Amino acid sequence: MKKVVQLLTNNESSALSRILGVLSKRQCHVESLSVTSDVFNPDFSNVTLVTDLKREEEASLLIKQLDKLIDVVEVKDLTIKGGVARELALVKVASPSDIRSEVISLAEPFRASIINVSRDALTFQLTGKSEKIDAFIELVKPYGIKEVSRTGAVAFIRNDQEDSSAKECSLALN
Amino acid sequence: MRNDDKTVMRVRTGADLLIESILASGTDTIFGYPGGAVLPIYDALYGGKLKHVLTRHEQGAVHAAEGFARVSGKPGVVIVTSGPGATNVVTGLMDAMMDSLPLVVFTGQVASGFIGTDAFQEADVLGITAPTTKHSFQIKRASDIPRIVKEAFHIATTGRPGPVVVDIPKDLAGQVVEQVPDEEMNLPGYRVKDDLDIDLLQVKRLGEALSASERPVILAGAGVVHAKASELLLEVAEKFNVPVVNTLLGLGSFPADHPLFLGMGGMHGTYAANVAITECDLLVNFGARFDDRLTGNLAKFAPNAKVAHVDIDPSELGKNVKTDIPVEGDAKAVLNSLLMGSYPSPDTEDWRKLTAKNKMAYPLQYKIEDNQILPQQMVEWLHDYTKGEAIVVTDVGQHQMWAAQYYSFTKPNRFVTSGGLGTMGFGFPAAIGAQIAEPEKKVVAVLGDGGFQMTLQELAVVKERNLPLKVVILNNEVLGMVRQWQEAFYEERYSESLIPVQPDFVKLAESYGIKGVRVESEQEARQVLAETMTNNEPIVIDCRVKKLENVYPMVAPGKGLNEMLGVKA
Repeated sequence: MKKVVQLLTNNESSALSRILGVLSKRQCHVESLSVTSDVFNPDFSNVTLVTDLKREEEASLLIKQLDKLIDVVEVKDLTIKGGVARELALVKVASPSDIRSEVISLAEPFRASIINVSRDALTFQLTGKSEKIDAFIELVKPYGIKEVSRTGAVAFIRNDQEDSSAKECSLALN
Repeated sequence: MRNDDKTVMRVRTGADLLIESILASGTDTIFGYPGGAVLPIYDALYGGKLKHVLTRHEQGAVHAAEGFARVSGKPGVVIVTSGPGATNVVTGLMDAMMDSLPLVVFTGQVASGFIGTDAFQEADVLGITAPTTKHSFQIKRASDIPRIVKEAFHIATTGRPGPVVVDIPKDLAGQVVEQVPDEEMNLPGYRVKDDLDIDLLQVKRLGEALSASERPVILAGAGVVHAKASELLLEVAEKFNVPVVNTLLGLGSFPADHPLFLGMGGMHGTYAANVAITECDLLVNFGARFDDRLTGNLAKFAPNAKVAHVDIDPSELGKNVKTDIPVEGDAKAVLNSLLMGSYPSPDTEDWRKLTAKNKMAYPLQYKIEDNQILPQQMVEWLHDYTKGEAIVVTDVGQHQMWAAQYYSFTKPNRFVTSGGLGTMGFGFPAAIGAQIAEPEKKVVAVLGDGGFQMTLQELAVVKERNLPLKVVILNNEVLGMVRQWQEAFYEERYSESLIPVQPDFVKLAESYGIKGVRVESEQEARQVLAETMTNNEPIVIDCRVKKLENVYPMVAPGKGLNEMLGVKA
């Protein structure tokens, strides 16, 4: 099952390799990983990590092992705590002039914006849940996808009350 | 700068700061081996207060530091050079990681400007040691050295202890330092709970479960030894009338001669211990990590028991065995809290009768043979001639199990062994470290002939420091545990496990200026032990033992703990 994990870490390159070490030691697959410097404290980084676990029990173990790392200041399992996750993707679709308007019309419901136009291709930028991006890619596949670049999910907790209520929020990240 | 009488004045450098910081941590002895990248550090050591033990290989230094840490409870400190110096300590780091030993290892590194250029003797130490340490640092500014050394010792020795590496580029060690800020530690991602900060709700559940149990067993591991909680464990076991099983690393945390003691559990555990774990209705684990060598087949492990697990490391709770009562906390504090609480003692008389009967009816056993020494006998004699009071350090393999089974440890911190990683070559240098930590105590290294040959170059340290260390080689001329498995599971195809060509261990010892003696009969063994175990001289005893002896009982891989081989019929 998919797990979205948010970490606050020391802003050291070794921090990232330790985090990935915990995952690779447990043979956990990393679906996506995003790292940025923390806005509030330049000594920290924000990491969002999406992994796919075979069993639910592995999740708490993984969280505890990540938390044990001295470079990890804070770690949260957003799939339990009720997070919000979004992703950005750039998708270059083959669009010769005869089908160009058709491709554009497909992109509209996804609120994908066109950021580059060339003679035979359009580049779309879209944001949203990872599933939405998957769906868009599936939809335009028959037209010929030339290139895709995705950020992977970035996420945090939806509201501030996560500590007061330990109740499990919906597992799907909305 | 030179003064008038032409002595060279040294200015204060990063290396000086390092030595000052190590001394400030309370360390007086370090183990190490010099080299190019640590020349500034060794220069700062020269003629100073810090006692440096020069081993003959970096692996020897790190294992000696482990032995030192294990018996003293203080961190073992190591300095090695960059590249091969650093990679040679990796096995010891992993060993200390698995067995929760506090180490602080300083590795030299090439100069800052050369890092990443595949410079001479460069290795990516942070990368290599990340999975084998509790944490590792690389010095970026010489003025950070005091703070980082403070942090390294703090991390190594608090919470669940472990090894910490500090990588020091050569230029920073040599850099002149003018002003050193007195900085506090800055470890936002490391929170150490107060020892007394335990989960009281779970302790209450544990107390109630103990009161309600009919067939309880305590499993005591190294966590009890680390927490210095042996006396409290005894009180709790006696108050609640609970039989006690030890893990390998927990030996000594409960007196082996106590009626409630059932012996070591696991792959080569006693019948009484393994059956008790299998049949109990409450299993209380204090400070053990449910290693596979202890549990056997997990599906058959303690099938009828409610499981309580007390561990200072929350990531151990529920890792291998599903836990009904997880108690995060220091073993000492939890035991104390159990004694303070008003939990009635359960009536376990029938259960204790059964466990005592098993202990009587199915003791550890071997078949005495004429004209040859059995390794088990030698360990028993060793126990007798040291009055059971020696610090016994082992290597890994059959002799390790025989030492664990037959020495009967009655006090903690008297058994030093490589448990989790099972590192051959560990025993001899670890014994040197133990002897250096406890110069007045009797330290005996019980080794196999295979493992001793991995690190025997450290005989030079025994001679150099005139350590009264006793080395007993249980010499069967085979890699015994490998051979035993080949006998049991590979139709006696002894692939590369027979090692008939060996050094003459007596002459070898003598070549280092140490007395060596070979014993081949009970009479010779007793005579040599009587002579040597009471004096203050080092000795190497090459004890020739039966070649094809096996360690029993044995739980084969994949089997449950109660499915033991080699139990009295």
